[in-house]
Amino acid sequence: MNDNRRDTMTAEGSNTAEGSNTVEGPDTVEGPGHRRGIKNLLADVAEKIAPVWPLKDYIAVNPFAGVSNRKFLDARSFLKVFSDCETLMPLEYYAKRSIRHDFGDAEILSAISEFRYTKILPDDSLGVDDVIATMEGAHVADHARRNFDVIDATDAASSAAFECSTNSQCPTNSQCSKNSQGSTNSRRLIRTFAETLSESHAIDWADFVVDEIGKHCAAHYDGGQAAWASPWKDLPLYEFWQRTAARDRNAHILGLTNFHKFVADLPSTADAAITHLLNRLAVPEHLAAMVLLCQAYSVLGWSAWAKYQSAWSGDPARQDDLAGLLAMRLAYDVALGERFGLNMHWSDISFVDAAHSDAAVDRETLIRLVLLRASEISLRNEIIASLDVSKELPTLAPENCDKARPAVQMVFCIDVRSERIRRHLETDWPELETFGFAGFFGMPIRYIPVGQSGGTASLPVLLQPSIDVREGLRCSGQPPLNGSTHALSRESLDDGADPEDSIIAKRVSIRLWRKSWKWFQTSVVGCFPFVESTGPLFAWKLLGRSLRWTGQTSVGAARLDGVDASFQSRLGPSEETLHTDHWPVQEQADVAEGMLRNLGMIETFARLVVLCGHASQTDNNPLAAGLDCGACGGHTGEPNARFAAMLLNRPMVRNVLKNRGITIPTDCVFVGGLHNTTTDEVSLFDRDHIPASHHDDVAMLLDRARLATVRTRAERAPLVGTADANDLLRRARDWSEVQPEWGLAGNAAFIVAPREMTRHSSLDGRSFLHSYEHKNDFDSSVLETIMTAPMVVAHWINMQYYASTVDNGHFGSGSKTVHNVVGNFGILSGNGGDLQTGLPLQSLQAGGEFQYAPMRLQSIIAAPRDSIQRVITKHPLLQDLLNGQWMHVIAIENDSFFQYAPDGDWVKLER
Amino acid sequence: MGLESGWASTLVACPAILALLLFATGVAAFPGRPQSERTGTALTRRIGWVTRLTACQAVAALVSLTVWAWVHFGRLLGGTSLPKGDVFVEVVVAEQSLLLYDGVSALMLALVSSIGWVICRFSVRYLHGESGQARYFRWTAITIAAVSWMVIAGNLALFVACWVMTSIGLHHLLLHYPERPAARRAAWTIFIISRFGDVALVTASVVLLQQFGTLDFREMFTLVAAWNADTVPLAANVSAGLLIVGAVTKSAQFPLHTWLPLTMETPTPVSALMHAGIVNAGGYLVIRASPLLADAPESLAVLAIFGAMTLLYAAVVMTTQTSVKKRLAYSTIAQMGFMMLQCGMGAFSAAMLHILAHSAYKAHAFLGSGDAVSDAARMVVPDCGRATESRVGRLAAPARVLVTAIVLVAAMAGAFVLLGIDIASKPGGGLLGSVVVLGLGFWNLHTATRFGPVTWMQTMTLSVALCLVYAASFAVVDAAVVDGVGTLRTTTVSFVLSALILFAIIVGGVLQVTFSQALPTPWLHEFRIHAGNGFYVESLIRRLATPLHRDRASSKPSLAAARNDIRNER
Repeated sequence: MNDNRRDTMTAEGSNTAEGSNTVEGPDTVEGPGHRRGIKNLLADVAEKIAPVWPLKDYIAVNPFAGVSNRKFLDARSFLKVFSDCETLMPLEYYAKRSIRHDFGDAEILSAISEFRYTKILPDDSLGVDDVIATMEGAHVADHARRNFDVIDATDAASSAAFECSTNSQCPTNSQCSKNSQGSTNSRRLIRTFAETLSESHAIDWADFVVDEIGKHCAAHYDGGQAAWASPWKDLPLYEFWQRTAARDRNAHILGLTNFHKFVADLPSTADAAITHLLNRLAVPEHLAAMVLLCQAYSVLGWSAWAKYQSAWSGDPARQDDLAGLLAMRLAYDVALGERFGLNMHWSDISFVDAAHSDAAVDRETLIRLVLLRASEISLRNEIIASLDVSKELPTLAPENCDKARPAVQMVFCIDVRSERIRRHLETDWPELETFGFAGFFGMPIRYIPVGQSGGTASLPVLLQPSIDVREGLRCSGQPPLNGSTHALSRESLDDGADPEDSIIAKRVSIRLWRKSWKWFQTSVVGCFPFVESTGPLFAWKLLGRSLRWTGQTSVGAARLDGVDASFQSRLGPSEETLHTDHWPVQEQADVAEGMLRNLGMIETFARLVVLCGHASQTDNNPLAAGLDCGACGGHTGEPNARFAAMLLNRPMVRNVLKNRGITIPTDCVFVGGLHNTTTDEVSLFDRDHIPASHHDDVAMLLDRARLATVRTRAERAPLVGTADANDLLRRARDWSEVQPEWGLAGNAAFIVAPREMTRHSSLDGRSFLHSYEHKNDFDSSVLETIMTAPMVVAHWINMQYYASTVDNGHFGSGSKTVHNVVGNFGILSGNGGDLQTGLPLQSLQAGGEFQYAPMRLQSIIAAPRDSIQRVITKHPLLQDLLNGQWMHVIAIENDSFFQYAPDGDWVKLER
Repeated sequence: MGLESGWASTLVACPAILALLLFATGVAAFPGRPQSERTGTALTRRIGWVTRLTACQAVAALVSLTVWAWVHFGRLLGGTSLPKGDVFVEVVVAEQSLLLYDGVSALMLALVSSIGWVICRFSVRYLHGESGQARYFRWTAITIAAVSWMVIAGNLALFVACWVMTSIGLHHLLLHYPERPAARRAAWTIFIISRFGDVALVTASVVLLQQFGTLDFREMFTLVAAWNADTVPLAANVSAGLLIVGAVTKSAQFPLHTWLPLTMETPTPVSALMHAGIVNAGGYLVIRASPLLADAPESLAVLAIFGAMTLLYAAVVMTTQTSVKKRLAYSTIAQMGFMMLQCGMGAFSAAMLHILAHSAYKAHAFLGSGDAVSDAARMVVPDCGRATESRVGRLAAPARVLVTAIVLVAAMAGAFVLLGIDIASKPGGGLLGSVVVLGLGFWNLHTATRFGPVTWMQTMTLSVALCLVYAASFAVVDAAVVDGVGTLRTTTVSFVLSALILFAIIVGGVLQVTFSQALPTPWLHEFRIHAGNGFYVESLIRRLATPLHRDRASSKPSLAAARNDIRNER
């Protein structure tokens, strides 16, 4: 799917419109028969919209994915033509940061010279002094305004949201609500009729249309909230909407007279309706895509959801849903225009595509970009100064650095949260070696829970699962080394019955019972006796959860339904997947080899190798999956870690690997583990499968891990504003907690290097760390994998945080306090309206202080420039991202650092 | 009997003083524009005070309730030699009854204080880091204090004053995010409705003062008790009607409910406070003033009709809502309708039980509304079919219905007999008992047809247990409040009314059974679409009110206006 992001990227005018293309009048409008292939048009529009995943698999998505084939500033100009999206922080924000010496004149100067070098800044128009003066001017003005507020404003005006005017600590773009304090977007050429009408009408039609669309989408995609579901849910979105809206009288009553008749008369497919409506508006062909984008961006959240349904859900019945959504949105606009007599004079819109109008970027925007770059440069310098590159020197060639065998090797996810625990583990115990690797451990699995026929993909969404792993009860351990007997065999349990069957039976009855109970609770007549007879029970639950005696721990609890306490630790990836009848051993070895080679673990194997996935622990948190492992599709990394360990412990697999040049010593044992990112505890799975000979190693490791846990907590505690490290434990179980952990809010850099380079630097949880040894990667294939998969994922995560911060109104999800789960798949802010797609404010800031500093990802790669350049040249996606400055790459070569500049220009950095 | 010794008045004085302190803290600790202590340790400390105060108040209220219950039930069960009559405490200031602590207010105070503490404790972390947290705690403290004083008010004047204060507090809480248009719409709608309610209550007070020369609840009750059915003056009917109007405005009764589903624009704990505390105030007013209303059966009959309409309307709308909080909001409206139905039928004890149970349920449901996603995961039934229950039972459908009906009716009747509740003597008892049996019956029917016989048997067993629990809870609450509430004479009208309402409720249940089976009935689909919109009540009111009130403060000349030629063709 990431491929098709590119193929039809040429939107209206973007590449075709060379130079000025001021467009001529309405006589260019063509009849319905001549309208350019509607499918192409819709494909153009669709690829500029980023998807959003349902809450249960909530993963980070780059909201700018659709426009990142343009340069950073061009994308901004492009978005501004048809929306009020923001892509840069305001000057006031940088003024604050500069006061705190986050960056200084030197960095601003570096940024300016870099921009001159890359021709972003045309000439000597801008100097450091200009930048500082503008920034400080904004700061003073901001201060004056705030002080004025303090004296003058009423209670109501003062409290314009959590982060807005009253909040002197973190200036943000007016992100509290999209329509507050009317944004001044002078580049906006295309607007919806609803927006135009909202400015003069008592009813806010723009909000009304979003509410209506939200209402219909929620009813269509509802995953079980409404007891009385629509009978048309299985139809494509457009058909569903047409049937529903043709009967719905809400619009009619609110003043959009006879809208239901309008809907009934529309063509019966989304494509035909869009063609029909565009003709009705007399939209000239070259503007059609922009008009549709304007419509889509006015309900960005639902567009993202429809995009997910169309492109990612894999359901053929839903592949036209995005077109359906566009048709719906357009229908409201056309109806509003006709009802209130609005007409667009398309000929007045002289649209010069942003891609060729760099010069038109205003001065303030440039200064904000300079400041963004200055802050990035400041961090980059800090990081590269802390790296220990002497290890790269050729004196330590592989043949003469026969390293002592480490006591334990631990592989963590590249996730920035792993950095702290890795550092503390290693500092405390030098014989322990850690690795960074994408948290699905190269296991492209679909994990199928006990008793289910379908499962969840537990791997990055860029990849397709190729192995179905069933969850099941593993046999109790039969330690191969000391030869002790089977402790408990499956058959000996439960009077000969298969324990899995008994789990399924129990689970069926538990869950059917829950469903029935829920039905009782929400039924028309039943809800009254339900409340009266069970009320006291809820008084008890209220007390218990308020005092945190009990908690409904989100994910784990459901997984263990119907599993006896004695079996719980044995419930995991089942061994049957590895049966050679299903899966030839050569193919098993392929997966194992791929993993070890990409990880760079091919020579030295410790006695104990822990593959440590990660998961978060929160209560009452609909966004919980967002804190889990993104590399596992927003789930816990547990199945992948356990499965990988199981695979690598197979003697048959090891034999094949030996023939392929990877010799795993017989005394090397792989173990799956889990890092709880909320409490920083590390636990190991399947411990009864660890041979007795290794029990001391495990005991030692767990002992050291406990110490690392305590130290990591102590390091994190001040960041969450508490002096007590135990407060972190409370957060994991507190149902009222909105900041259980900071997630990936620290992310800013992606370091691809041997651990020796970073081992002695404290990176403050700011960096994704991927292990990489260039000397073992002769054909750069590992580098290519890293740069096209984990690095892109890291970039997505980075951009999710970036976009949610610079424009929370469009790309974030507002305050958690008004979150309202819709249809069990998404979040609304308040009563209804647009689907919320990004990060909530509470995940970005606390008490007005941003935890996340919006910066584009800086990828620091310990590899020669040539190798990196080859990979970039091969992948247009990387060219777009790097030439467009959506992220930065820095190469470490022979003890020197080189910054990638557009078009393969490498600039040496002075340390 | 009045407990008049000094120690007795501490029962009510303690929590009352704590509530007063809470009020004072709310006003003083969070000054209007708390710029300096918006965040940071000073604010944290002050929030800590408020939360601890609510905890103290909750403990005090629960201790008082325990002591009161010990005395009351001790007398009731004949364990002590105390004289017959109601056990109550009055705090009299300047010959006016300031506070009244009897079964009704004891239970309610314990409820309000506990919910207040839960809300505050929840909000410490939930609103952490918000610039509005200080303001939020200010108005939460003031509101909780106002509700607390309202429930223990000894006279109608104080009651009305606290009632108005509560409404003002709520208004500020609803405007926690004043920049959100829907928040403003909801807040101002309830603000206007509340002022009508205030007028009704003040007028009622004036009429009552004219009539009795006092507004003390107990004095008025004593005077009313002396009347007999033929000597009820017209003014009594007028005041009863006005009190009921006041109650209806507070408790989101159809068609004045439209603001309630719009209040999701304010932090979750405010919803919890509102749904578990404030909207009950209407019901509480009716229960508190029930001795004055018992002689106006016509007004109560109207209330019952409104309640029944509300419950049917909202219960149906509830089933079509797709977001957690909206579903809960319509559920509250339905439950408020049920409460008002109980009040209207004269079943004041049952209404009291309902308030207590519903508050606990709804507070938990709102505060825990973030569980929705994990709850959905907990209901995914394994589908691989290795061990699913066989869905077809041995009994045919009519037989299942018959068995269910017999078991449930027997269980309910048995429970009443066992606990010595004479259902015939309780006003509305027949109707309410039937609703319980019906609700359980529809549930059993659902399980019997959908799931296997095992689940069905489990359901039936639990249903019998729930009948017992319900009857027992009712017996306890009834014994606690029966002396403090009025007794409605059962009339022919009420029988007819019961029958009609029961019929309507059965129709509702049958409707659900019908749509659960997804029969292709076109009119039903259309009905569902209208129900999903709450039958357009909110839109109609909004449309009617729009010329009066602009969503936008001003219309700014905009770029779009300049670029797009806007021609109004009319």
